[in-house]
Amino acid sequence: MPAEELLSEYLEISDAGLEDEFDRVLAGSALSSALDANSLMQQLNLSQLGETEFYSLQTLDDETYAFCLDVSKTKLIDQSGDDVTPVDRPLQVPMVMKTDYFSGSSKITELDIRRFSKC
Amino acid sequence: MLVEIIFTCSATQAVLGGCANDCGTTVGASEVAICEQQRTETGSNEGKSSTTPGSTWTPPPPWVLCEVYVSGGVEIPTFGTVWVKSRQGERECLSEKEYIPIPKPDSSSKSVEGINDSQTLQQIFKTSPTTPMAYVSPSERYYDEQFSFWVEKTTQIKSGTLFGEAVSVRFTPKSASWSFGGSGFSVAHIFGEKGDFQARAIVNFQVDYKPIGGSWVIDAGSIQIPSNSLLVTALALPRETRLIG
Repeated sequence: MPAEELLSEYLEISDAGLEDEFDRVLAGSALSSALDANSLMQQLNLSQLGETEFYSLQTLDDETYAFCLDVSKTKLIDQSGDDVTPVDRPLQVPMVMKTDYFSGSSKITELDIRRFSKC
Repeated sequence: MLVEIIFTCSATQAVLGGCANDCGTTVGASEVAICEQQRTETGSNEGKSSTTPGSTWTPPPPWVLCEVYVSGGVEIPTFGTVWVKSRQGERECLSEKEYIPIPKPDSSSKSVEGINDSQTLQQIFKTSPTTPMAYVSPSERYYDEQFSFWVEKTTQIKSGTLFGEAVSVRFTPKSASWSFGGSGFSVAHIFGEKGDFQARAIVNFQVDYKPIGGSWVIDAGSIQIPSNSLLVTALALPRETRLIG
């Protein structure tokens, strides 16, 4: 699966909170990080509204890609339906992802912030 | 002690606001990066004329985004550049582009009284130690004889400017280890067999840094830098001819 498709699919699954499907597109530290964040959302009884997007996807090498993650169209809602989105959260995050093949299918194995980069 | 941190992040973490690209000082495996940030505000006072009687108000040059090397200027080329908001003509730039302020929020949501356009600007100074030079004497001798190796033990201070203020990083050599197994800045070694050998030292530097307006932060981390490679030839022993009888 091309990187663009893989990333789109991951973001769709993540936006929908489909934890059981994470391992279809994620592995390694990317998977544990996504599961941890999802678990935190559940503990805090928060839900996400809206969708994350990405842009400026660039190939750094065969398995490494840089992109900007845009969370500006998402909100965090608590149990009472109040908007509890952090006011100072970065809306565009410079990211880097690594992919690898597992039984013939491509998965994201690492998802990290690109320090000192800008979107 | 600071160490290089990999900031793992997921999409959900980013939604939660847990993926901040913090500005700070990072001591990496081979490089130190000092990041400073300033929040600039273009308040509602901008563009207003002075009310002081008799004085003549001259409008300041417009804001522009000025591209400079991460060393803070245009004189010392580095592998990265940053965009800095500054008044046109105030500093030398590699290139300039129009500064577009962040749009103001809708006036219907909140009062616009006292709301300023603001932007956080980051400047980064990245530096690493210069490769320490290693030497050998002689570079060729019999394999059962000693070769003397030594590597520079010089403290290096690298300075730059962030937002016009000086920042410095000091690299102090603390120890050295050699590819053939010895350690120390000056060592002797016998190869014990003939052949061509490559030798190099790995120098361990203590990292101290001085941020804007601060005093030296001592032992913020360490960096290991390999020296140049030395080629050494250990010669076979000469044949001896002895007359018997």
